[in-house]
Amino acid sequence: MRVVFILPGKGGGGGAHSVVQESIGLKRLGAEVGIATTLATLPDLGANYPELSENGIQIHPFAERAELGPVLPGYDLSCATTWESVHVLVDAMRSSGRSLRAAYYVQDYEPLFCIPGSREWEHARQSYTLIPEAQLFAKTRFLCDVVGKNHHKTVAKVSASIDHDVYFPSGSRSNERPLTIAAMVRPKTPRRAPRRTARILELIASRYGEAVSLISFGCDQEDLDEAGIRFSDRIEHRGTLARRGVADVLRQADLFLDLSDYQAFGRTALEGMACGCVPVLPVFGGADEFVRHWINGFVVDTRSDASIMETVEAYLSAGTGTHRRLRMAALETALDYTIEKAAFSELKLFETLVN
Amino acid sequence: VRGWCTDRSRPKQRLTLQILVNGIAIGQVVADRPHARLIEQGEGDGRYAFAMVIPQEFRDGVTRAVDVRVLTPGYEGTHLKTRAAEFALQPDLAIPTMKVKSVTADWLDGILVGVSNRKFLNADIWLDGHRVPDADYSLQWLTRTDQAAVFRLRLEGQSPLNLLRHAAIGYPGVHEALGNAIPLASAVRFEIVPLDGDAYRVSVDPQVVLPEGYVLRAEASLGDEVQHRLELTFRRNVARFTLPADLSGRQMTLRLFAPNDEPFGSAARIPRAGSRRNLVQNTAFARWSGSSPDHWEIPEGIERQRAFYAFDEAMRAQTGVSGQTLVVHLAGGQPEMLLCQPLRTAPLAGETEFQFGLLARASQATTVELRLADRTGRTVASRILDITPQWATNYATVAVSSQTEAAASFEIWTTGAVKPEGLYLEMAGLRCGDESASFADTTGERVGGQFGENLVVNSALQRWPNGLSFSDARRRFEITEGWHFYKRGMTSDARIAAVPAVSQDGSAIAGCYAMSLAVETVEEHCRVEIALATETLRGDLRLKFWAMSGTVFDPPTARFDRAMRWASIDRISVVKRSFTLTDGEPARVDQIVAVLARRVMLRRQIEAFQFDVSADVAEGEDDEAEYILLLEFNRPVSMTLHGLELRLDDSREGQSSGIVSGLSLEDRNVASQVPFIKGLESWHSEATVLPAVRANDQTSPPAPPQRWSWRYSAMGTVEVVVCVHNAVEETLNCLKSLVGTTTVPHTVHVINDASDSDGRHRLIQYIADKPWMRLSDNPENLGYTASAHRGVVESDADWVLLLNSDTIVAKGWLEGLLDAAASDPQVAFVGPVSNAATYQSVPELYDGAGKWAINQLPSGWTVDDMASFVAQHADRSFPEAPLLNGFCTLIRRSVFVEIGGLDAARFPAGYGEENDLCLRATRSGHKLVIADHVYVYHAKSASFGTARRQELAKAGERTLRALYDDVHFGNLGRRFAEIPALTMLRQRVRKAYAAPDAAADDKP
Repeated sequence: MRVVFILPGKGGGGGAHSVVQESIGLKRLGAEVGIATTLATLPDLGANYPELSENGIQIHPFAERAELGPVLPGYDLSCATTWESVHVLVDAMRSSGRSLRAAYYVQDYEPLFCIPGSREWEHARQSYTLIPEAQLFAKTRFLCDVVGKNHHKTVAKVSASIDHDVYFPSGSRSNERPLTIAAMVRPKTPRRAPRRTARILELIASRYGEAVSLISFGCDQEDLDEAGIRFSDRIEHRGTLARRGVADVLRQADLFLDLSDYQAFGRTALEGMACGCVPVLPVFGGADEFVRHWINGFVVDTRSDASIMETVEAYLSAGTGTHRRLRMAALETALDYTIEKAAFSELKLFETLVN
Repeated sequence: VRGWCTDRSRPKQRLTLQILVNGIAIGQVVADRPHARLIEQGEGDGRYAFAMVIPQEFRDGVTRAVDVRVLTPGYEGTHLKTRAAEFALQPDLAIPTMKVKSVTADWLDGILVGVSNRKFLNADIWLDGHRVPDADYSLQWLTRTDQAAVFRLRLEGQSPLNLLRHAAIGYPGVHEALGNAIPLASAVRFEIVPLDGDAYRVSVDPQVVLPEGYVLRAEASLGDEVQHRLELTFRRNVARFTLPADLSGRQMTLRLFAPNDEPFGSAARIPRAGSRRNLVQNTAFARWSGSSPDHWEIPEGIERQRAFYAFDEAMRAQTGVSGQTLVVHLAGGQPEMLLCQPLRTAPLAGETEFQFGLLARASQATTVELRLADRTGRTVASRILDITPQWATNYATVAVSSQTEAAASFEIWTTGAVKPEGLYLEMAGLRCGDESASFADTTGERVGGQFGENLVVNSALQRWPNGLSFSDARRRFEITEGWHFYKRGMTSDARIAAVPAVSQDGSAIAGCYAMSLAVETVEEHCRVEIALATETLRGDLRLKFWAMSGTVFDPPTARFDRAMRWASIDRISVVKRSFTLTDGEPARVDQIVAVLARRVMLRRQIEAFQFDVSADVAEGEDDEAEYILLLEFNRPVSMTLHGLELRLDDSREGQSSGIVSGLSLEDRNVASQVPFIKGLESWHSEATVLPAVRANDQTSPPAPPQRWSWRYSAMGTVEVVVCVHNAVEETLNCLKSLVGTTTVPHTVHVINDASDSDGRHRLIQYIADKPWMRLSDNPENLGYTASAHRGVVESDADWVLLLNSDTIVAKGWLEGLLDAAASDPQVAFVGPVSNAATYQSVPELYDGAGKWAINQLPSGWTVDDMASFVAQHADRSFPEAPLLNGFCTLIRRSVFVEIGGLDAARFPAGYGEENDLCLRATRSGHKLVIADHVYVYHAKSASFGTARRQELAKAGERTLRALYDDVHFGNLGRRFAEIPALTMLRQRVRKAYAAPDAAADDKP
């Protein structure tokens, strides 16, 4: 099995993580894996993921889409990973002059990222049907359903993964320290609801004072300033963090708030669960794939501040027994999402496509 | 009719008077009102005055005689002296009326109109039909004019809202003359606006501030018939409701009721649902970002401009136009697209037709084409509409067809029929939707979005510290409190006056002032600066005011005369003013936050203006900053203005410190697409979406397949009722034992008596994949007895098994209990034996301390082992018992209902209630038996700790003894303890305890 992923972005986002770590997983399962990326983003990709070259993943940098023309026929399957990469893939396939097997790893419902009616929006909408014979696959039922219902394409379901080498629980948890709540604030991504998240953090700060420590991360201070988000002193903003930094925060935290409008998957929350941190996730989207309300985390209608606060308050007022039970259940759930399992589910799908 | 009357020999007496008009009595009144002059003169306590309003029917200009006579016994035949024995009232002389101006947490302000201020006596307050003694309330007159008086009412111990619901107010005598005073509640007004679908928004007159979460009951009626009842919860003075689909299309009225079921406010008409349904948004150009209206795309190269036009009130009400307009330039030559917008949805499915509509004018008569295009840009429907130089609305109907269903965007094109020099087209409203005539666009309304309090300081213009009329030559001076005038350059003196505000029909609005301003020459500019009572300004702003050109001054110069006909406010803006030190001198720095309008033309008639914009200014570090509303004038002006309101809706943007109410997605891109993406329907639900509960929760093992046996079907149906209050671990163990062992078909009803959320969700999760189990929640902790009673009574099974949540059942348990029940048709209740169930315990009844024993299982034994042992060694004689322990009781439901069930009033906590029930059952001829071969393990009281339990048990026992003073409980207990079958069983079990390993060989 030879497969090449088209990854035009520089990485750092949830979608790129999946592709990189599952590429390595596929490689370990005996597949030959390549990643095609633009020349401009090559240095960033190398810096973010040194493990790519260590694991023998072939990198194909390109300046023009046509340069991929000769590369693709060397693989059994070419796999797009974003709406942009679908357009790259189409142009590359055209320049190769041959019919190639294609697939599209749908990581989110991307028209939701764009202004309705804009060029990007049109392109994002087209991406699902642009290559009629391409097999679509996604890691949550939610994505399969939304793409299926709106574009009349069958979307295969694969398993999701997180990197347990990075995200693992810490050994000791002192009962003496105050409960810690962490949240990611990204003002440049409105669907992640940065204002709502900031507002809720402030509310918790004002209601609980010293009894709860609050950590935010995910963007630079300048981004907060630009968005007019000013945290009070009670909230510790850690800035933009690399994966290991994120893992440290998640290990430190008891509760992780993802108050996005919706979550196609909710990678950080699942990574948090692997670190023993109980997540709060939006009810809309695909998070119900792994979170069960009050069993291993919480699911809330993030449109309502009142619902969010009700859940946070219920968690904070629950006893240590409940906290421990939730934490253990979260850890147990996260163990189901291994790179091996995810890579194998993809390999199985690719085999059926190629053969 | 007004006067006073007293008998000086009896100063404490209050006389009752009768008023007669032409000899006919029109009413009675007690002369007991305070009279200022009498008090001053020391005439008794001065409370001898009266007043009564002459009813409307006598206000016809006809001269009539008035007479007042004393009715109080002992004074018969006494008539009062009248100053004028005759009167003639004109029909237009107003009867006093009352309006609520505003309600705050502390007081209620209102205006009483139609009373003379001279010799004003007082106002009377009625609460629930009774006049409130003067001492109990304070009524402060804020301002009085000839015709109106503004008052502030405070009533000890009564919230203003309560007053609004219950109280009535009136000029003395109004009550008597008109039969009732003016109920304050009638002064509250509601507005109902249809939203998408069958949803509506109700808002209360913004002057009345309802508390957050205030609930009013409402009835939607068709004619006089109530069709639908609902409860409205008001947040920020707004509530939302939906009508059933079959009602929403009909002409309904909504009536609201206060918690005491008194009508609250007057009934309001519900507009037809969807009647303002447009397929496009921002159809009245009410919302703008920069120089383009929101949602509309205008191709590059098309000249566009934002403008304003003051449509008259009727036009506004009829069409819903915002007053803001879009001006585009039409070039000659080829047809070109002027503007377009993607459709929110395809043309209404199920409709046969829809309409294009356009309210516009053009510099010359011309035509434009309105089109629907599909995704490829192909036209699927189009109509050409005429535009004239006068404002006119044109409609064209389009049939819905298979073609139009593909429509994706709405476009406006020139038709090419434009003269080469081009012309200007000004549009005020567009429609692409169903048949209603409104352009108002409610689709852009945010859920929960609501404009807050009026930020304008002294908006009612009630305070004029510098006089009501003056002219001032200074560069900067105070007009009225919070309002300043400022000018630059050689601008002439400004003349200012407080004049009565006039309504649209030209009549003065009682108690309401307007500011009139005239400046004869303006060299650079001048402006009115109005302070705003706010420290932050971020969100959506709504400015409203009434204005007209001309003033009471009307100076004679020709030049000024022109300006009088047409006045223009050149710019209306909000600035943030901060102070810095420049060369040691403080200097003002104004930073524009938002420009609300430019070139607002005022006409000779008073008109209402409204402008909505978004203000978005980052909060600076300077605490000294203040916000000011500026009205700027670049040319001579003569204008009058009142009713200025600036309100802020900060629910969407900005970070307020409190919870943002309502439901909203933060990402506009997401929110705007949700309606047309399939599968995301719940994302715009009006209610909070709760997490779905999934079966086969991965953290608990899958339920083993249930094996059912129908051997007992002749007995009828069985339901197991388990009442839970926290202690979820025990309950889950109990339910798991039920699942693992029970083969008799049954249902399980878990009654959650207010457990915490954690517990509740784990129960929900556990039963999610067990369709024979259901969970119901008590809204609050009802206590064990009431919950259990509810469980049995609500069941429709023939047999109900009331099972404590801290029990564990073993194989064959329910079969055994049913066997015992079948042994005699008189059997009402059956109980098993247990390790801890008073007289049903095995092997010991008492522990070393003489308390009821809690027998532990022999080491190495499971509940199943013990149950097998008991099953094997019991007599199976099903002995009759005088009482039963309530931890596990099989109940014949018909008997339970017949004898009245559990007595939650006497035994709320669940100690003694089962004995009471058993005694009632035996007294009415029913039998209680023990299934001596069934063993149910009892972990003993998950609900209360030991000390608390003993206390409750004692209380239950006292109640029981008091209730059955004829029963000797000691004898009863002895009889129970000595039941031979149980005594023998205890001995056998005791042996097993003594040598558990040997007895284990007996295990089947």
